[in-house]
Order: sequence, then C-alpha cells, then structure tokens
Amino acid sequence: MRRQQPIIVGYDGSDESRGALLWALREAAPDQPLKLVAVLGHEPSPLPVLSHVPGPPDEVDRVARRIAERWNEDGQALDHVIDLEFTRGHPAETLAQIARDERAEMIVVGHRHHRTLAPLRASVASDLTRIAGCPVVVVP
Amino acid sequence: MESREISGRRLVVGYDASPGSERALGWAVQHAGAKGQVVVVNGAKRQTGRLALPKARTNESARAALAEAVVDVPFLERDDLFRGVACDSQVRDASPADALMQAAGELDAHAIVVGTRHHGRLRAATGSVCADLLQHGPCPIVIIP
Repeated sequence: MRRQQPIIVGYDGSDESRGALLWALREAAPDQPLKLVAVLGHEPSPLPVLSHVPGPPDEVDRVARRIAERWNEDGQALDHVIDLEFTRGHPAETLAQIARDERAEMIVVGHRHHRTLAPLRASVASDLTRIAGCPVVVVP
Repeated sequence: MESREISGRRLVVGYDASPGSERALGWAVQHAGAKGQVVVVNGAKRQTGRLALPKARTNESARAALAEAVVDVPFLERDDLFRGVACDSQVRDASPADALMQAAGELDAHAIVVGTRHHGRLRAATGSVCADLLQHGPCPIVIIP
C-alpha cells in the first residue's frame, strides 16, 4: 500500500534541491513514484507580504533551463517513475497542498546552511514543518 | 538500486514521551528496515529559545522518560512492527537539539527523526529544536507531523 504513495521532491535544479532528489531516489521503493515540483515566483521571506511578490518574468525559463541541464547530468539516476510539475505559488504551501492531493508518503526538500543570515531568513523547509500533513525530510 | 527493505538504517530519534515524539519513534521503527537500528535520544538540559537566557538546569523528567521509552511504547512490544530493529536509548548532558546532533554525528546516522507539536505552550520550545536542527544538523532531518 505504502509503495503507491509518491514521494514529493521540491526540485528546481539547484544544488540543495539535487541533494533532496538524490536522497529521495535512494529512499524510494523500486516501484514508488517520485514527483518533482518546481515552485516558481515566490521567494520565502521573513516578511509574509514579501512572500507574495511575483518573481521576475524570465524565472520559468531560467529554472527550466537549469533543470534540463541537470537532468542530463543526473540521467542515470532518473530511471524511476518521475513526474515533473512546474507551478506558481508560495513554495511551502504549494508543496504541502500537492502532497495532500497526491496522498504523498513524504516531502523531501533541500536546505542551505546560511551562516550569517540564517536567523533572519525564512526557509521553505521551516515553513513546511509547520504546515505539512505528512513527514517532511530536510536534506542539508 | 538499494532498496529500503534490504539495507538497515541507523536513525536517531528525538524522544520526550510526547505524542509527537512517539509518532517519530513509530516512523523510525518502520523505516529503519531489517537490521536497522533506532537510537532514542533526549537531552538532559532544557532547550532554550533564541531569545531566552540560557538555562543549564538538568531536566530530570527527561532522563526518567527516556529510561522508560524503549519499554513504554506500546508498539515496541509488537514483533510484527518491530521486526529485527535494534533500539537503544541515550540521555546526553546537552539540550535536546545538541544531544540529537551529537548522537547523529557520532553514530553516522542516516537521519534524525523528530515529531512536531502543532499546538500547546511548548510550541516555541519545540520549534527551536527544529530550527536548531535545520540550521546545524549534520544529516537529513525527518519531521513527523
């Protein structure tokens, strides 16, 4: 039963999101689907109002290009059943909603360590831990 | 590809006898896999919030709760759930977050597993455990709702 539940991975081609993808690939059962979700347009911010400012118009192109480049590099690892979704919205809320809709087993996201700005910088990871209805894995 | 059914994982679990920590322990036991190991960890010192003054008082209830943790969780007596997973416990002379990070580093843990508390007066305190782990954790953190 559990195997049919997908693993949702927050993935935008960045180094930290690749770490999340590789962890999910290792963790997934052989027939377990992975769904990669690139959430565009909103950078998390400690000021909630700033989280709703749309990103630059070329962001879709930029992220799509980066994913395509990384896709070729990661090609061997990606023989899993993989679904890639581009979407817009608040990253944590969007990931949590997709996970609920898909009855996901878990959500996997990367997390960058910021030494200096850390206390001031909200992150998708810490937002997710408050609102997700399934286990959240944060890969450093 | 390595399957979760084949390889045992060493998982470090934050446990303080709260319902959230019991869910975390349950998840860890299910995901450790055959020949896996679950290490239940708590810190004997209080977790302090970012703005709180440091308090180094020993939390005796943490020690007591942890001593009972392995025998006191109902499903651990069920062999069908607990198949083959070794379970150890540790209390460290540190805050819960530091205790978890120390244990995970020393044991080369696959992940740290913690529960969340969505409501209640301790939310701020548990939130800071999560925040500490996210900022400084040496390995992946699994947060169980």
